[in-house]
Amino acid sequence: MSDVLLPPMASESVDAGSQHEPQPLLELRGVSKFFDGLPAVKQLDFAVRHGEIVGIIGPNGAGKTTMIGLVSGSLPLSSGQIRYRGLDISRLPPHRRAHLGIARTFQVTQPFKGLSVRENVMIGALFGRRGLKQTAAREAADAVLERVGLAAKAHFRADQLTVADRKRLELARALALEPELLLLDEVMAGLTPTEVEQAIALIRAIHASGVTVLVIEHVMQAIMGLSQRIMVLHQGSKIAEGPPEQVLADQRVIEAYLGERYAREQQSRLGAARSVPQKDGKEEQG
Amino acid sequence: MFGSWHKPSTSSTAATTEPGAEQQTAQPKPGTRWPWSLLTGLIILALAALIPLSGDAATLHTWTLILMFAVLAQSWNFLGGFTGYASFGNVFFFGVGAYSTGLLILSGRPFWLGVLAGAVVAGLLAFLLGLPVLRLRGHYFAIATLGIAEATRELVAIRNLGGSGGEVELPLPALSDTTFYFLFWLLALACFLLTAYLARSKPGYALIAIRESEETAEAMGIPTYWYKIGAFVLSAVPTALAGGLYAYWSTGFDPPTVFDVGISVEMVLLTVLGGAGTLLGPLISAILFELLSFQFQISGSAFHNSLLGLTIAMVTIFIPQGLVGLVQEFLRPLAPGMSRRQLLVEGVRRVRRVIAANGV
Ligand SMILES: Nc1ncnc2c1ncn2[C@@H]1O[C@H](COP(=O)(O)OP(=O)(O)OP(=O)(O)O)[C@@H](O)[C@H]1O
Ligand SMILES: [Mg+2]
Repeated sequence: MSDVLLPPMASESVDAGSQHEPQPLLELRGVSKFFDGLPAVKQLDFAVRHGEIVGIIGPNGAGKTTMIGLVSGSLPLSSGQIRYRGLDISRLPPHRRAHLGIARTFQVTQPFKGLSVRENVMIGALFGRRGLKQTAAREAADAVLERVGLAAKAHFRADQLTVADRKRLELARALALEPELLLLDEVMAGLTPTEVEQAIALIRAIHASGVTVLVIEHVMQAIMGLSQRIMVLHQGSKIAEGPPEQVLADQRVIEAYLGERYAREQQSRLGAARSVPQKDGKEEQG
Repeated sequence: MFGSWHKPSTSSTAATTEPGAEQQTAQPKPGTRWPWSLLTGLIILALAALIPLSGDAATLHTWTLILMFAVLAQSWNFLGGFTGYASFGNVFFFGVGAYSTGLLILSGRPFWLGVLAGAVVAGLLAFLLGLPVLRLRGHYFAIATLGIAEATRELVAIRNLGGSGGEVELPLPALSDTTFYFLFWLLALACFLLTAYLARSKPGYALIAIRESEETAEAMGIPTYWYKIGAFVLSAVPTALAGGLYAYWSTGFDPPTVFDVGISVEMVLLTVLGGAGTLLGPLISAILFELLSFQFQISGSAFHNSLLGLTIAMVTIFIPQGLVGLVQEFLRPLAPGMSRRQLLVEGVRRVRRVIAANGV
């Protein structure tokens, strides 16, 4: 099995063979991230195909947001490799990845507070993939705001928005980049059930328009309603991956995540008066 | 759009708005303020152009310095105000401009060559220094720039690069005081127009985005690092031009004083006092503050410096959005059901909060 013994033709045919499987749009190979020596993501292998919509779940602190940070470039990798359209993007700065078509939202929303909602979105159109001129960017921004239901608040300053609207703005900013791969980090936390329904419909529409989507959510209704496939993170490692029904029936997933959630939901149902602190919505203090 | 900028933490409406209760805050449509600010600034500068008509040498002298500080503050604003990266080392570029001009004049070259050379050198140095220091965030950047300026001041004090004894002495200029005045005036006008452009342009949006959230700016496709370096260079060049003009106008200088950090502090103060990141702020506060300090004849004295320090402290604590921001807050159409008196009460409450938060 030594490579040296293989004639050049043979190794080429290996490459040719791998082309039968379509090349993944995004691929994480042995990716790790340490914070002060503590692992937040450990040796993660994970791939997303073009046109997929994949859900990522896992308990608090599992490393979901960290993974988004690694893919978008906000956080530098500790080790491993991230490939996008077959290109090694591990060392590219975030803005270059945005130009390649990767857009993200922030779980702890961080808009350009002093600017108007429209300006926030417009900046995405100005500096994103198409790099529009101001007039065109403003029009593009208005179209996106219409889509996410923020058109009426275009003139609001971003820090005047409610939590739900801030989530919408996060989504709008990302959409203004006209992404190919959209990374959504808990855009539904803090929304009412009706708003969650609307958000699900919107994300479906975005996906239908050809965008590959990665959704992180604790809202099971959303994960089940959207995901073609689910990946479960636990303590920085992938513990399950596959079709939703299969993953949710997985014993390890129930123990690591669902069990905890079921318990918590049970608890809050029982002791509503005591109001169990919810860790999901990190948001609020902004 | 610039006009509406002020620190969110001090925004009276946002702080009291309950999440869920959607409050329709009356806000002018973006872009209605900018033309007015532009017009106001141009009128102020047009009036300033009339100063030489007074024929009074002392007045002309005072206003020459006022315009010089208007240039310095407006240049500082390009990086410090727009991106929020506070440089305490901008005096370094002033010194570089003064020095280059001095050395070239002493070597027999025309003064304008010296001034231009100073600007080019300062621009290059800003680029080269920006490469490492603009990788630093916030306070670290401020400290690094301060270090550069201080180190240079020490260096010129020891090495005496200029000539024989301490002072760099230049021949009497061939230009009249009025000509000098208009050179500074042109520079101030250029800085003002550049600010106006930035306040409305794509590069300007990139700089503001960096100030509002650098991480988001990057995620939105903005090459933040290069924009910051660009703003640093933009900030250095007019500062060096002013330094060069100053050296020739004042027929020489004492090397350590043109690298004195006090000048940096003054740039910061004037910008923050007027309103960092605003179009009119630095221009207006340069005129008001310098005029006051000349009026009371405290310019250059130790009292001047302590007044500077005190003003900086007061401004950053109580009116972080600057004079322009303060005025705008009062001019802003009121939210429904809010009287002007309530606005005042809110202001007082804010002052109290600051005091309480600091345990005074
Ligand atoms: N900037 C940071 N510095 C230090 N530790 C961090 C940092 N960011 C995340 N961590 C740690 O890394 C781990 C993974 O955090 P991460 O935010 O990725 O979890 P998550 O799966 O997104 O959780 P949640 O569901 O609560 O959002 C946690 O233990 C967290 O404390
Ligand atoms: Mg998270």
